[in-house]
Amino acid sequence: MADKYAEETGRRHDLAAALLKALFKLIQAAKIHRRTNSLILEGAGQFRRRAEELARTESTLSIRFRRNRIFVEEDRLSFSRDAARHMGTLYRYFESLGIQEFRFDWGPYLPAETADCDRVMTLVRLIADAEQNAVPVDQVSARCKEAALDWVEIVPRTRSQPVDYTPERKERVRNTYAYALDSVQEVVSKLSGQRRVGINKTIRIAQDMVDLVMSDDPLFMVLSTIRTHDDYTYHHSVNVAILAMCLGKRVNLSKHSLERLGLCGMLHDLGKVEVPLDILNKPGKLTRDEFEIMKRHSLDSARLILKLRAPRDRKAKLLLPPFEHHQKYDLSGYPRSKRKKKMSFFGSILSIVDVYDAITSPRVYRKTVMSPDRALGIMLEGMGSDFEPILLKVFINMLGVYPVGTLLLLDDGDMGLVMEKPSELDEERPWMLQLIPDRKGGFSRGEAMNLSARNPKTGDYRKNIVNSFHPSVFGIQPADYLF
Amino acid sequence: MSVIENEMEQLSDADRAARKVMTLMLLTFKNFTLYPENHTICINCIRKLRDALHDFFSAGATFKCGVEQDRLLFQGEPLYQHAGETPGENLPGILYRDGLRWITFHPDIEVFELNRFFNILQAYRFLDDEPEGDLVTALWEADLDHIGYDAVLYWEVEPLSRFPSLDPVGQPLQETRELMEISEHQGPQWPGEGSAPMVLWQLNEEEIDRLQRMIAQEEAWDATHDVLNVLLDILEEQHEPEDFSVVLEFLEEEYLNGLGHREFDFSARLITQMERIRQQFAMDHSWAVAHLNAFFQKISSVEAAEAIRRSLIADAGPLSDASLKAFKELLHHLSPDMAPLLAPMMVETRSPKLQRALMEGIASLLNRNLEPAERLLKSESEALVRMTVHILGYLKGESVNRLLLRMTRHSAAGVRKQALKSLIRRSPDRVESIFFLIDDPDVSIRRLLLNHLRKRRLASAEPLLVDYLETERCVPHGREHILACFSALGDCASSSAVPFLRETLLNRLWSGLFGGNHAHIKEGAARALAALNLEEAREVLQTASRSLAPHIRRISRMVMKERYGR
Ligand SMILES: [Fe+2]
Ligand SMILES: [Fe+2]
Repeated sequence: MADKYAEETGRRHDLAAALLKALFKLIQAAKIHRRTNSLILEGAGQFRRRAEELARTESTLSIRFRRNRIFVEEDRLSFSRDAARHMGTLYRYFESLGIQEFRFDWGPYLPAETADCDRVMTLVRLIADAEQNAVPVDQVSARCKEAALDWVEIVPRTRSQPVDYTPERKERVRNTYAYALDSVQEVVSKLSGQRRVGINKTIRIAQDMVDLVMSDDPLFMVLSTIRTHDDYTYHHSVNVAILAMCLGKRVNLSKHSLERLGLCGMLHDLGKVEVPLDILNKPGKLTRDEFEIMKRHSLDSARLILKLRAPRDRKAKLLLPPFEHHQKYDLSGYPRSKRKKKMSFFGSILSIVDVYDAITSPRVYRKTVMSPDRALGIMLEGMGSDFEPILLKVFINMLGVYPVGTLLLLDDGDMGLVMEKPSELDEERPWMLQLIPDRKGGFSRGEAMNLSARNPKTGDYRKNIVNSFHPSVFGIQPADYLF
Repeated sequence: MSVIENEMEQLSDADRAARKVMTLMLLTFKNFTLYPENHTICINCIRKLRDALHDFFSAGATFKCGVEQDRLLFQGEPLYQHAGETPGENLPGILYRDGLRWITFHPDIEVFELNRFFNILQAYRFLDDEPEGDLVTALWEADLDHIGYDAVLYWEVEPLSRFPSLDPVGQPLQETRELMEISEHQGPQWPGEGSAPMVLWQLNEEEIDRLQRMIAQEEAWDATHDVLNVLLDILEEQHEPEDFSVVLEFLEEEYLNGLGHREFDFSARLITQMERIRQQFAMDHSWAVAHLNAFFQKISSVEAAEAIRRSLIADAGPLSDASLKAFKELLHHLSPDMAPLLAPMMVETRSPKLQRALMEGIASLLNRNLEPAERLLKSESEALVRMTVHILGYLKGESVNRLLLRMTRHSAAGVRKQALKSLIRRSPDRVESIFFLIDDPDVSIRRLLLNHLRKRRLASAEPLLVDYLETERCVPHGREHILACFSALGDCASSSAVPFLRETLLNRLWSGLFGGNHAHIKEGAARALAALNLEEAREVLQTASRSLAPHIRRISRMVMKERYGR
């Protein structure tokens, strides 16, 4: 909404990262240098200056380490590829110490003597002691207090990390999905009633979704894993919108473009309203005639968009991608066009996410359903023919080797759902939410597991993935567990 | 001190400043309903509001205004309660209706932002059943840096307390161990485990570059031609009249938009493509032809002309050569019905280039169908009629001649003159029908005609001139005209005019002159004779130079001296 405030937040994030770096450097330097060394003095000064600057805008600061990500307050820090390498080392260091969070409380301003070199070095020494196992990490805070170091608290990690989003956040994301679904349904039902339909609500929702995707909320992506046997088209439309917007965000589209992309996603299969239900839901293969009817839907989507009650300009901007979404990158798909030469950028995005969502969706007429990671493997074969190659790469990169919601089976018999793709700090393996089977064929939530964790002695991964499945194979709705 | 003053006294500075902001907010809202935004009242009001906000910011921080159905609140206290019944005047009601619950103004807010804000309020004061956007979507799109808001979705939706349940697609799971046993491998094995590091999917420099270009293109939204292609593809696939007209309607709108934005190449392409489609449908879908004809009629409507006028004349930014070229091209594709609608722009424009383009375009339209010209020639604007006559001058056909001839009798001299010029250029030798203009009240028209007669030395003009002079119809126009007529006669005539000239020079007294001065008549006849360059004419002059009448003698001698040197 207000860029200026985003800028301030960005500055704060940078400062927090710098503070952490200064602390890390000091800890390393303290191992080889004396307290009077200029490197040490300089490092302590740097730490203090960052703290002073941070204290000026906010009296408290929380830096948390969670699932290979660093958070300042509720916001996840993001890093460039180069910075991520460095911050990854730092993350792993604090993580290995069992530190979950630094909480700073400086009061309204930080007098120089409160964070003088002595006090900063006390903190550094205590952390270094924890590294040597001389002090248990849960004692560090108490030791700090004893040493008159009252502006820092170190929160040790509890053994298991449950999924921890605030209920408000979950509700907001959940609501967005409900509203998006409802607005698509409303447009469709009004259209089949032959009325001129306004898309005011759909636009409101699209904007709401843009705000969510802009905030990088991992829960937003989880929404796209929602699957259902009924109302497939509605869920599919919303999922396509979500995935398209995530991909759009990934390539830094402006918020106005993201809004348009979201709308295109929600409306891309509008034309299916005119396909008879027995064809739409037919189990098994469609006859040639039936397929011809099915093939009309993308052209009809574009035609129905024309009938919406919206300004001409808005409609003109929504027409193209839905029309194109089955044409394929090399235009060998349908509808055939004698005039077209090239697929639009948004059309390319839609056709990638559309296929992905379609082949990872269980359908009544399909016996098997593909696990998300295999789906990506199949799509890779269409790179350059069916799909725009660069965007497909970005899409795969965005989802990760194991997309969120994939059901994993580990070599020790544990199973669970991929929670988030590996962070940029640790590009190896994702975190998994363990699922514990109950006796009735259902599951309950277990703990969050870091699949990148290695055995410190052997250097091997603690757990290995032996197979992946689509969660619906077991009737699992990932969102039920990941939310 | 009254109770109110007392209360005000007790208010903190921040409260007072907040009240002032609120009052001005309401006033600005009201003024925007009454006056256009560029009216001084609105401008001043916005400035005052901005100043009041700045005062407020210096005392506190952000101005945050709570919104309820009929009330606006500041720090939980109602600062305004709406009382009236009229919905369009209820500011809190309008904000509340679209789900706004908070509005915040941040420090450094600028006048343009406030302006935009109140404009948006105006635009969405009233909403219909299926509105095209609302207040919140408009604010979102405006993306104003220093105006924040918090909005709820104001309509009810069944909450998703649980996500939809899924029955297992495979078999219900009994034990985890079963999982191990299900080894269904559909599709190719995805690299997955370790073997394919994600680095593989990082973009290289060149790909990043290409991606950036694709994004820039998409964000600039330069796809009007692609949209047209899609629309045409859709149109060709329609077999229901109703659907067919939906698409046509949109094409109309696109066409008009293209005109309004100087995208003339787009509009021209649209027309040519549509003509092709008309031919195509004429063969096997006769029902569509009526729709298509109606389409062509609509895109040649007043609305279309208005769009062109807006983009070319009202919006008088300089027209690039490329646009001008595209516009010329477009003109050729328009319906002749557009001619009378476009023609006024020839008069309106100040650009000679555009005027020329319009004239050429209209000429080509009228060339296809002359009928609209009739309407134009009846216009009240003399300039317009004159330009039309000018254009007609370049068209072929007898019917054009008839129109031009009719215009030689127009009430405005400028038009008659233009018609005469056109006629002279078209058929310089046909003088009978235009000869009557020799009596035109406008001297320049008479001169134009006479000069033409003289230049062409038309034999057909001789009897006309002789008759004109002999019957003395030239008299009322005075000396100069009479001399010019004689001079023209001298240039076009043959020996058959000699008797008339001789009579005029030697004997005749014109009754129309009532015994007044005949000197210029004699002079005219003498000069005409001299110009004839015939022996018999010379003889007449010689006779006249010996005349007993001194003025005849003098004039004849003078002319002979000029002509023959003695
Ligand atoms: Fe589709
Ligand atoms: Fe689809």
